[in-house]
Amino acid sequence: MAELLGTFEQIILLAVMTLEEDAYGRSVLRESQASGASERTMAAGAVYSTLDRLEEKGYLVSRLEAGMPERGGRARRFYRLTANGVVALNETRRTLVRIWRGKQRKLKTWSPSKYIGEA
Amino acid sequence: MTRLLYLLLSDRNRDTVVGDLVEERRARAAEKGAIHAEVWFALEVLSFVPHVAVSRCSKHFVLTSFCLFTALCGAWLGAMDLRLRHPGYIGREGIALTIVLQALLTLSMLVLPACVVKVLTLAGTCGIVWLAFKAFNGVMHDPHFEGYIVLIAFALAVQAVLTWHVVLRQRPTGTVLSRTTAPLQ
Repeated sequence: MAELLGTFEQIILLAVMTLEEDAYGRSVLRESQASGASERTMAAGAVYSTLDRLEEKGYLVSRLEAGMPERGGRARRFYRLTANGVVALNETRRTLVRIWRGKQRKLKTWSPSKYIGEA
Repeated sequence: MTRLLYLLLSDRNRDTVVGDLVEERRARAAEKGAIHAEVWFALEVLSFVPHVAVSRCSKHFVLTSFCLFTALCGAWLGAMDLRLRHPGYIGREGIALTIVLQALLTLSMLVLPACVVKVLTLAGTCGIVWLAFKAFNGVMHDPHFEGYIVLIAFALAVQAVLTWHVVLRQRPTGTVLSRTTAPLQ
């Protein structure tokens, strides 16, 4: 069984999956923000460190491409989702669906004020 | 700012991340002006600091723990001396401040391993080793044994040894400032 992913990890992996061949640090950041997954502005440091961590875990692989003049000749690192990454995403989604099954209706009708003072 | 970013990033990501940010800074400068682009770039670089700090400090967990412990001890000694104001407390305030500053300097060195910071940190270790020796010697010749001073002196000595160990194992930062393109994988 794959490790369950955190919310931020899911956002990043889904952004890489969406971008396909064009997934590099900045494009992943833009895609993650555009997806509306987070209402707050994402920090670049958080995105790059998460990409690193996901690659270490084997959920992503990367390749380097030669740098363009507008990057000062610096290489660009492109990421791709691995089979393990897909398994981890599916596993996490299934687990969340299982946890939420039957709870949504209860949450809608839940009124915390009803229970105040009962203890 | 670019130099700070180089220090914050690992060898593996240095060129690629800086390249991404430089490329976007250029695009922003053309679109919204140079000042906007520079402010954006500075904020982006600073956004790396907390992540790098947590990552590098957890990598050197033992040294970080000793630094936090000695910093707390220094702050406690300083606060106690300031409150009690026994004769000669000004000198002891200086010692407490030195202990706190050295701990903070060592933590800064872990996050930003710049050459200057390393040199200052290593110079500081000589200071805390001397303080540890002086404190230990003082306790041994004092009829009233102060166990907490021996403990703090021991922690300072271990902090100094661990600092040297970490600095000697770190790669020199000067070599990473070249703008070479990493080999294609």
